[in-house]
Amino acid sequence: MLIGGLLIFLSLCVTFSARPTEDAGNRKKFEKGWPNPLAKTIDKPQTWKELPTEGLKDKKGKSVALPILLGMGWVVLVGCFGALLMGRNVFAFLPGGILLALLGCLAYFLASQRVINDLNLEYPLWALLVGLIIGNTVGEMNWLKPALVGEYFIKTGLVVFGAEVLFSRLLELGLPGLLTSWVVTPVVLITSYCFGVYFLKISSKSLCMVVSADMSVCGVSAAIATAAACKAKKEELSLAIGLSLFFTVIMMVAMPWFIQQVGMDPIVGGAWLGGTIDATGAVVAAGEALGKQGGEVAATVKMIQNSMIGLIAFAVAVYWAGWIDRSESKQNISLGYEVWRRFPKFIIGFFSASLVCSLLFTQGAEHSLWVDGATLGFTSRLRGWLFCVGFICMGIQTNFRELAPIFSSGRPLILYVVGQILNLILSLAMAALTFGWLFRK
Amino acid sequence: MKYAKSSIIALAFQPMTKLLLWSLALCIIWLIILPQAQRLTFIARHIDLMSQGNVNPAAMYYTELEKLPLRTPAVEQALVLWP
Repeated sequence: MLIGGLLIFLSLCVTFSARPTEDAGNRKKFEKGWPNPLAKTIDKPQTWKELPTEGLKDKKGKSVALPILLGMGWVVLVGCFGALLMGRNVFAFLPGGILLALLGCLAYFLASQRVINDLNLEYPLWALLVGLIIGNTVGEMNWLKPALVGEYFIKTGLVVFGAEVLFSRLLELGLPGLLTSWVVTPVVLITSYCFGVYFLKISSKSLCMVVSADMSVCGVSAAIATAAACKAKKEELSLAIGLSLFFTVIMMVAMPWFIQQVGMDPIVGGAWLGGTIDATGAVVAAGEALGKQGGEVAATVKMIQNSMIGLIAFAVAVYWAGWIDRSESKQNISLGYEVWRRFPKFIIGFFSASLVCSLLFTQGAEHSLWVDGATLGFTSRLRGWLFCVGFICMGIQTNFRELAPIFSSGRPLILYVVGQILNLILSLAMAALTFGWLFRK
Repeated sequence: MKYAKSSIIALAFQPMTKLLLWSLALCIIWLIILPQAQRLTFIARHIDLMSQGNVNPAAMYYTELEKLPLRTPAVEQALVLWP
């Protein structure tokens, strides 16, 4: 929590120190916020078609090899600080940390291949694959073990991620956007969770929660946040991500086709896409087929859903600490104390980062560009690297045998499919009601 | 012959050999199969559409998009945002 907070603070300070002297509040001039000098110290491999070396150059043909190398350096640095704070030997962490950073880079290269990238098969999947290959071939080598702190990387990544979760974005599409996100998403999340626990009788409640959250909110990022909030097993998170990415590819292709075939209004169709397809990139990709207005509505509705992650992760953490975990222990302690004792503290960091940056964002045009510069230029990229390395650790340590009985029953798949069908029906009804009728000019 | 066969099988189950075989499989898929696959008409069409629209389909969160999804006048003209 401390390191995540410090990284956000560093990014905000550096961005502020390099603030533009003219037109500092001009969104058209600084579309992605104020320039952040730290952006030069971190990047990831770019998309490539034939050879991975193409990924070392950005769209303008400028080399990103050094920022990629420095990005790996940031991961090692964050890991070393973590080892120091946890009272571990930094030199024992270092060799494994360097290998993890290199494997993270490999996972990014796998994800950046054009076909893979354009099918929305995101880097966590390939990071898990790389980890699984290492874990199931050479295994956990002794010198690698001190660096296998996946939970730490994910939690630090989540706190840093908090800076990107801006509540103020919730209002971007007014009341129709709010209704679509704030009514349908929680209803689908709670209904599908209850369906998994009480009807399908899936023994792991955390698995039901992670699958329901990634299906109803926004895919992988929501899955990571809620998995951390409800202390899900890494195998459960891996399973939820796999399910989400598989169905995202299908929905990304099938839904725009269906919308065009039935002649649905592009704005209603866009809102429907934004409310149902899990992954943000896939929503924008699918929205392209609906034209400018439809695509814009789809992306904005998804962004509003994205902004809900903070509140949902917080609510899940409170529910888990106060009711699920508590019911498994003695109940003679007060609820408030028990919630505080069991509450995952990094969620407070995640939520606080989100709250502070959201408040800063709403202070005016210059402040919003300041926050955008700090997040888009640095924290967002660093968060990607931390998640990537975290997933590699998870892959190395994942034991799918534990999940085999649950998965072979097919129940998580049924949960996802039934939940998604409910999501499709409710989102379409709400999109038609709000974007097609109530708030239509 | 029987000894050679069992030696090869034993070697294939060695951790390092398994790692090498996996690495080889990844190289074949990513360096040969996928570059060929992107020439298939429907995949090429999808890639072109994404390139033209400057879309990053692999974005996990809206901050990773090429363009921030901000409300535009076109959407404001079509909807009553705050009645």
